[in-house]
Amino acid sequence: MWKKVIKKICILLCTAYIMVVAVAVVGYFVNNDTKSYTRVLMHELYEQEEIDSIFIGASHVYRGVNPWIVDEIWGENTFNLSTSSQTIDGSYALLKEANKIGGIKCCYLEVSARMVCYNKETRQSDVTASYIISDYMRLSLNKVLYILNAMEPKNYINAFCPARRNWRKIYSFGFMRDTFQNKSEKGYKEYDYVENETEYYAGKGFVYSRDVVTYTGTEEPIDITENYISDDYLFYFAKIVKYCRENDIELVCFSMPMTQRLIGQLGNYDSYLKQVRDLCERYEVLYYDFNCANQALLDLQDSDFKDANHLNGKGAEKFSRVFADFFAGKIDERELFYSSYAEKKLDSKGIFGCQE
Amino acid sequence: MNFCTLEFVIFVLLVAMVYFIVKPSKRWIVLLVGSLVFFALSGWKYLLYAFLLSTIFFGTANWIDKNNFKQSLLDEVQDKGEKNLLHQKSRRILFTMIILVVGNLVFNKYWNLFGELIGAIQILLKSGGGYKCSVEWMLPLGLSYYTFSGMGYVLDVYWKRYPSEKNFAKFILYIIYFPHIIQGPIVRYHKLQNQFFDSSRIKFDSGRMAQAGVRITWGYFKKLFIADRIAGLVNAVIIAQPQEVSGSLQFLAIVLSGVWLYADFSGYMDIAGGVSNIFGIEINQNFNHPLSARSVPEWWRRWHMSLSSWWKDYIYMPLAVSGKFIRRCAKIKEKYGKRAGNLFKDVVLLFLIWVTTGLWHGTGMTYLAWGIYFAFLFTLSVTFSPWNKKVVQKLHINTDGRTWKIFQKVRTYLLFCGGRLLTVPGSLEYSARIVKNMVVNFNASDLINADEYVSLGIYPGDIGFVAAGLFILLLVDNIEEKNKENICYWIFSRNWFIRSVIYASIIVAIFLFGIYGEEYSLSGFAYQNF
Repeated sequence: MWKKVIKKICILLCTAYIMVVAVAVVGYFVNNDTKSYTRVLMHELYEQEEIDSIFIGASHVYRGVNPWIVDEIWGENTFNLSTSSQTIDGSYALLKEANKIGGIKCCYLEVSARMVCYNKETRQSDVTASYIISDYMRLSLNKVLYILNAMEPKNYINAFCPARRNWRKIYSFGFMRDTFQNKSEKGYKEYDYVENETEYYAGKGFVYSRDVVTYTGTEEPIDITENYISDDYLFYFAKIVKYCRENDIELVCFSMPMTQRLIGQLGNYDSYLKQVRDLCERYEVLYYDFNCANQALLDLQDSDFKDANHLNGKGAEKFSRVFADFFAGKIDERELFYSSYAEKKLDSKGIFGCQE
Repeated sequence: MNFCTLEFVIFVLLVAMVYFIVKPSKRWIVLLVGSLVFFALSGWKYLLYAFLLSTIFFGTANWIDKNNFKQSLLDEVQDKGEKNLLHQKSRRILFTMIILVVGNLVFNKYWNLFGELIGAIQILLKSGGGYKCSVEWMLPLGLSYYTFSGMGYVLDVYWKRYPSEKNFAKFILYIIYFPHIIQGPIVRYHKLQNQFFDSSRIKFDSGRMAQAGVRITWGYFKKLFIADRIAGLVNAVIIAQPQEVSGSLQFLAIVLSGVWLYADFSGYMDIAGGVSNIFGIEINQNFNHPLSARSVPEWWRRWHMSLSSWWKDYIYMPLAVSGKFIRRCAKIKEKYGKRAGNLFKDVVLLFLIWVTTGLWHGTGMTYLAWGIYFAFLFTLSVTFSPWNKKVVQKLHINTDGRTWKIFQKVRTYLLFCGGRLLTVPGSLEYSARIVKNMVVNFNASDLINADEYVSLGIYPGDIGFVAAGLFILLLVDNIEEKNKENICYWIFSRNWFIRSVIYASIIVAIFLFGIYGEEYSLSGFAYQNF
């Protein structure tokens, strides 16, 4: 009887092993992530021995906050843990992931006008940004919970198994051949920093962009309503606050600078600002909006932006210095920040970002 | 609840868990509750409908059984008159029931035609343009299957094959037993009765579970890897009625549509049969490797066997042995000879069965034409069979040779696809256009031209998967046909490593390359709306 049981266990284990290998082999050929920043970013994250501070948010953060500059000024090891279109549920998952490394004293959470209206249902139908995060998280309860919450059930298999998501690439021999060749290169295996035409991954989650904004049209206006911050955002914001308190992590919220042209198109920006300030006050969290920063201290021009709401590498350098100096106590809050955007406009030397 | 969803898998696991926890004597109650939940999740009105019809079948059968019992107490000679009276009463009740349930089935199947009539009347009575029938109706889940099951049960009781079931809860389990409610098979009551209620025989058996698992996995492979993949091709080439399409692609689509139907339907049967095996309940096989059939009659002996045996037992045989029909055949024999008399009997019954089968499959001229087409093929087969044998002998054809067998199988399959050509396009007019296009615009090189597929939104690589799936399907059919046993036994006789490779390959094929998920709309099974 025991022989039968052992035989059945062998069959089960062997079957499972062959399945895992087969899926991994197919995945190797159909998933071309040789130009992925997140792959390198997450690998780098897991290689850290200790992180003192993290910057979490969407692409505004990974293009705008240069951790190397901040490290120099603070004398710490910081890490930029941001991805494209990262919503607050992704930020929450990554915060927990980073905390496994250990040592995090402070979390700088971006609060962006473009991301606070996060709606779970709409988000679940647009899964690419979620896949970017889940694909490179190590298998853990945190990853499982993230996938189960961020995606609809119909996407679970694609989330847990990227090979399934891209299986149709198996029809293209050329694609598979190129993928195999690219993945065979030493750079891919050693997680070398990737470079694209107009930007490159510079390490610690920071992407240096070379582009400069050109205004070929208008940005889509956003209607800042009374309850602009969504319930789903508030739900995860509360979770982040609670998590930070339970793990002795100081939480600081901030907003990355945008072009003044874009802010103008957003409508009543101060209405949004008030809602965010009220939210942070309610949770007793510090908040700083760098769109209200004094131009004399943070002088950002067109040439510092990649597009209307992303700094380029040059702009990131300027911003990161001011950011780091401010949080190091070298710049007074009242000198750096206006109390409102309207006040800044009144005092402004001119509205940049309108050159066409 | 669709069989191809995670919800269904979880549902089966939960029912199975409870099934093996409870006392053996209560297990049928678990199946009953599970089936009720399954129905309810598919829609409460379906459950009420099944309940209503079950009441009719249950009541009729018990009434007839009571009469049968009374008759059995009466003397054959002395009480002949009273016996006849009771028999007449039973017949009247039986026919009333048949008219009710068949009328109900016809009403549900042909609702859209009634709807058009109602809509037309609405136009006449109302002013203003446009019409739409104000009453919408949804075909009840599994209606055909439990109607046939119930009617068969009542007829069996009428013919005194077994006594009626006195417990309504036990009877309704037979009607709504969830593994077979969607697409059959149509199982006879006495075959399930012992299995449901003989609690001592059902034990948890890992060997049986393994067999069930293999069978279910094989069913999902046929459905998700083969059938739904071909469905995409057939939809794009035929059903969507594209503006310009090569005749050779249309030919390919029609030829593959036969495999589509077989893989879809038999895939469901394997899933249903495997799920039922988990509970220790065997339900009929519905397919016996029809791809190995060498003639059209043989094809239909191997295809949807539970339906054909139902027609045979409850329509064909009763008519064939009925006094009126025998007398009519005798008159023909007298007038035109023995062969003519036999032919008359066969042809009339064949046409009746096939036209009814066609109309059961669907409304409209296409299905009527389908029924007539197969009746015609059967008639040809019956009529020319003796001459056929003589011709084959004269030409010295080796009927046991492989080439001849392959020729017969291919011919039979293509004749089956002829029927698909009548129904898949959706109208006879479109079928005719396809035939014309196939003849006029046939270019074999189009079959290997990737651009032809791409222009229709088909991934050329899918054809490769279809070919691989078809190869595996034929291989498995061949092994089963040769060994006269289920593929599970063949797999279990291999060494443990080979078994692991086979299991892993099938699961990975479904998991990675199956047609399911966010890109695709959840498709049901081909026969679930019957």
